[in-house]
Amino acid sequence: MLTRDARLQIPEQVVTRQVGDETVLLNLESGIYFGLDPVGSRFLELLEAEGTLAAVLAKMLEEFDVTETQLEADLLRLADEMLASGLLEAA
Amino acid sequence: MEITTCATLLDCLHRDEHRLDPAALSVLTDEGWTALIEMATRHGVAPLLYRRLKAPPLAGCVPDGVRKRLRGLYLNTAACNMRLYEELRPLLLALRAAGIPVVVLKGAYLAEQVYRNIALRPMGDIDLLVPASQAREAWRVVKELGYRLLYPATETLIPSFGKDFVCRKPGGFAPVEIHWTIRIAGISDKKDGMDDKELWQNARTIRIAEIDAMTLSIEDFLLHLCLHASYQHEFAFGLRGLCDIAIFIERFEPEIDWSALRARVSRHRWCKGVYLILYLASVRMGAAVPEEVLSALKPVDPPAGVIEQVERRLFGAGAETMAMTSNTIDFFKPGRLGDWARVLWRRLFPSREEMTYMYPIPPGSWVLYGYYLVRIRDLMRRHGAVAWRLLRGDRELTETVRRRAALREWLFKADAQ
Repeated sequence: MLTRDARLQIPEQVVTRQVGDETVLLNLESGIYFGLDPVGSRFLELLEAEGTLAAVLAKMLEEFDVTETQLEADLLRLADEMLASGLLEAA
Repeated sequence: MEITTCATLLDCLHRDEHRLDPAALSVLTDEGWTALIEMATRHGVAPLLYRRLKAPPLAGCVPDGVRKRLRGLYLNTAACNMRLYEELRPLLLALRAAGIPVVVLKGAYLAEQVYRNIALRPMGDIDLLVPASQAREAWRVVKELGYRLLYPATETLIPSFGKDFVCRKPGGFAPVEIHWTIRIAGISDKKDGMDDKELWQNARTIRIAEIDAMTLSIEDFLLHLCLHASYQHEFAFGLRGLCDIAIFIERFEPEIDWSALRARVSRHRWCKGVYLILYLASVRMGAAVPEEVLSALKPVDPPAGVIEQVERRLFGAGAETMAMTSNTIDFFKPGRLGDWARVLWRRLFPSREEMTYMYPIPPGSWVLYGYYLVRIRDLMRRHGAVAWRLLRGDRELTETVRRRAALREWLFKADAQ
């Protein structure tokens, strides 16, 4: 079960690219890809910089008008989905 | 239905974001939306349609399901192109390390540098240009990277026959075409291709896939797009080709040297094809082609209905155009028996060099001669149904052949001016 203390990173075989206002992640080995809207793109950007979900959560709470419970649930769900798709991995 | 769908799609692709009345979308049924998406996909412009429909003033008229479907196509294009650029990068690095200058042609340049969003421009392959004198060396370099020729027997012909070699990495994503000359198939000897020496002299440095490379000058690139869509594909290139031209002009509008382009077109007598495609880009997509350029290029002897004929081919991608190749037209157009027999012989028995570009024949193998039987079988499979309909006197198809033959004859006849 993923928690806010999880340390995550983008695997080596995953490439990312900004397309318009979205970010696309592509796993070159599996061919699985994922599109992130601007909020998701910000999540990924902060994750690359901060490393842990807790740090990303703290930063995003400052930037977005959302409750901590809601944001935490959304980020955990997104991170879970990306882990399952091989677009993120435990650091 | 088809005509309405096409008109809606054209308005969605037009430079003027307000060209389409949102009311036209509000009345679309599920079937109408499906037809619109399918047409956009067939023409390679679904990502552009998505971009237009997700922004105001049209966004509010698009059902969620439609938006999701289009977003899926948009992301799919992004993912496919990302894989392509991942293949392009090591290619450019290796060729550069070997001291071979490379010009990036067509999609790979357009998607990143002209559309400036790789999700907007679908690509099927990577096209590169190297100097003819270094084409064999270029093949050695890409071979070391693990690429294999699609047609192995063409190896000995680099660069003495043809215009390119096509290779692919086992497990790779897309074929790579390495050209040593830009020759436009279909253009007669007098108009044959662009001047390679001039292309290299005018080429400009760019950064693509995060690597320093080169591409054609602005005017040469635009000209190449026009020749490719007009003479090479005889306008059956779909709306993506027209969008490429319109978006290219929009991107470089202040920098295009129209007088240089005009001079080159006149010198090579490419006025007819270039005029038609620029005119349609202007009228249908809102491309900013100066009026004086169109006036100067306008042919003096356009046959009646030529614009409608060209539009029919341009908008009908996938229908008439797929079955009716230019060779089929040459074969079935009205003419003398001697001409007919000559075309038939040429189609059934191409030269050995041409055969090596059609079949995976091992270099220097006698198997080549066996492939002439395969060739006859393939022609029967590919054109048998159309040939049978024509021989039985199918009126609609006969009329299509007559129109196509007339367009070809006019287009490839030397410009009057």
